[in-house]
Amino acid sequence: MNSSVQQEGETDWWLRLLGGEQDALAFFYEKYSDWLLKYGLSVSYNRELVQDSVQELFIQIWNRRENLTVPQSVKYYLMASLRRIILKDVLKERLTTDIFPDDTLSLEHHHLLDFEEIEESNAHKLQAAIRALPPRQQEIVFLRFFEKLSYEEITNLTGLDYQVLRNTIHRAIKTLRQTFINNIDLLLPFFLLLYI
Amino acid sequence: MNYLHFNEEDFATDYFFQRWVLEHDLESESFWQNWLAENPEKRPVVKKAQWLVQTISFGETWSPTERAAMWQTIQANMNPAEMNETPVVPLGRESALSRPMWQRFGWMAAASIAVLLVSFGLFYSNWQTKEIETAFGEMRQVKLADGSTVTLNANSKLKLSNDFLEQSTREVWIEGEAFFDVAKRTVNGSKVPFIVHANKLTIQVLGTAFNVINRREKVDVALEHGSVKVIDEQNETNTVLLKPSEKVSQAAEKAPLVKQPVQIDDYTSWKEKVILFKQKSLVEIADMMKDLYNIDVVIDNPALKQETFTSSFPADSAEIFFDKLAKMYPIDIHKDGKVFHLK
Repeated sequence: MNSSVQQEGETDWWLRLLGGEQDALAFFYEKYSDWLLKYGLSVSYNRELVQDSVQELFIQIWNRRENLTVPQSVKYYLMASLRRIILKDVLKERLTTDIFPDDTLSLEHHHLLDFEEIEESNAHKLQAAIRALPPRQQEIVFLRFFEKLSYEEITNLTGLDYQVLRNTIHRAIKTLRQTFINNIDLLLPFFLLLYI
Repeated sequence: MNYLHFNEEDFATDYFFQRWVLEHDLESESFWQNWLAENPEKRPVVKKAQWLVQTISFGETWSPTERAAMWQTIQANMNPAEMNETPVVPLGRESALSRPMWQRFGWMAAASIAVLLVSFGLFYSNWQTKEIETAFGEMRQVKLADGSTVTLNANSKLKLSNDFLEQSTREVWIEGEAFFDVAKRTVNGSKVPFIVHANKLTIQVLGTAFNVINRREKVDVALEHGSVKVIDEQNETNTVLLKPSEKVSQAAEKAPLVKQPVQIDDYTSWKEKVILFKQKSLVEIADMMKDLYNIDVVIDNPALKQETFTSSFPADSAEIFFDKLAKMYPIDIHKDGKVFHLK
């Protein structure tokens, strides 16, 4: 699952893309557009900006395909390129668009009946709490805990140094734990029974 | 590392601990199992940290509509030189996405077009714009070459130049009422603005969805999402920047631009074939019936003119509206030929 390792078959698809096959671009779009949304929102929590940037990413790849080589990992290449596009836009302050929250992160309370529902509800709340973190922390949390990149890979991608990275993770975790400490206590008896 | 005094966040921040939870590799697995066996009192703390690390996930996905719309925008921006073949394609007919003939002969075609332009320069001006019109009671969705969608309400007209996509700005003209869902477009890294002209107002867009009414000299722009700038062409200092769920209206040429918050559904429900109005006077409703259906409504009792009404009716059946009106309010309605009289 690691983004720095090439997924099976992707080199072939990439070569077809470089050769001008639209299907190959569609293949990568189908495979990675949702994942790029998750990552993009971690870089800047603005769905419209991410939508723009994902479009621009695929347009750029196609229109510049004659100058491209085969990346070591397509996923990592897409990630680094999307990041560059988003940050370019953020920096240029061309943001005239609004920020609106994703409705998959609804915080609706339900009457909970069993452990699975508590667990599921807490996972949703945790997602919402992550999306409330400052952008840099969101991105680091995404890269480390969701994408499972090593600290070294994260420093390569983001340019952050190791100590700053560690501190950023610590601050993010601290905020998440403070949001969750009561919930975790609540479900802990179930958790212990099931997993230890 | 002495883990004995670690709390939840210390564990969750520790790289070796993360490795155990995220990767379950042999080294971390045996270390943490042994450590927990030696320090059973730390289990609750460890379990909480473990829950936190392994529950972190991200659930957002594109909706199928977003996914398809984005792909259309991507395709519309691929190989810009080939895209002037069909500037406007009515929705429902798929535009040919791969055009091998154009890819092969694109350059030659462009050259012959240039020759044609030179030879028929005078005639060119007559067919350089394209007009799409709807009749009374008709509604139509138009897909533009850049991936934008325009939904025209009844009795409305959209104009755009045939080389719409080749210009440094995308410009269209609207009379009547239309809902615009504008696709973002980038050429060589810079965004191509989309401009709607409505009477003497200019609406500048980057990528957004909004409703425009341009009838009876009155223009009304309501924004669903994104951002637009509305400029009075006759006084360019007269501008308004709209945020979602705001509208701006100008009651007549040169009148001030008035901004106010709105329920955006009130302005967009017609697209779903529901005509919705709230607190509208009978005079306004009569105008609307004339504009959308060419139905004449005569208010015989002057006292009724300023009465306001709130109701809705299906867009394809204006008659239902009169039935509803007669049932809800003490109004006497009779139809005389094509004219409805209200008393």
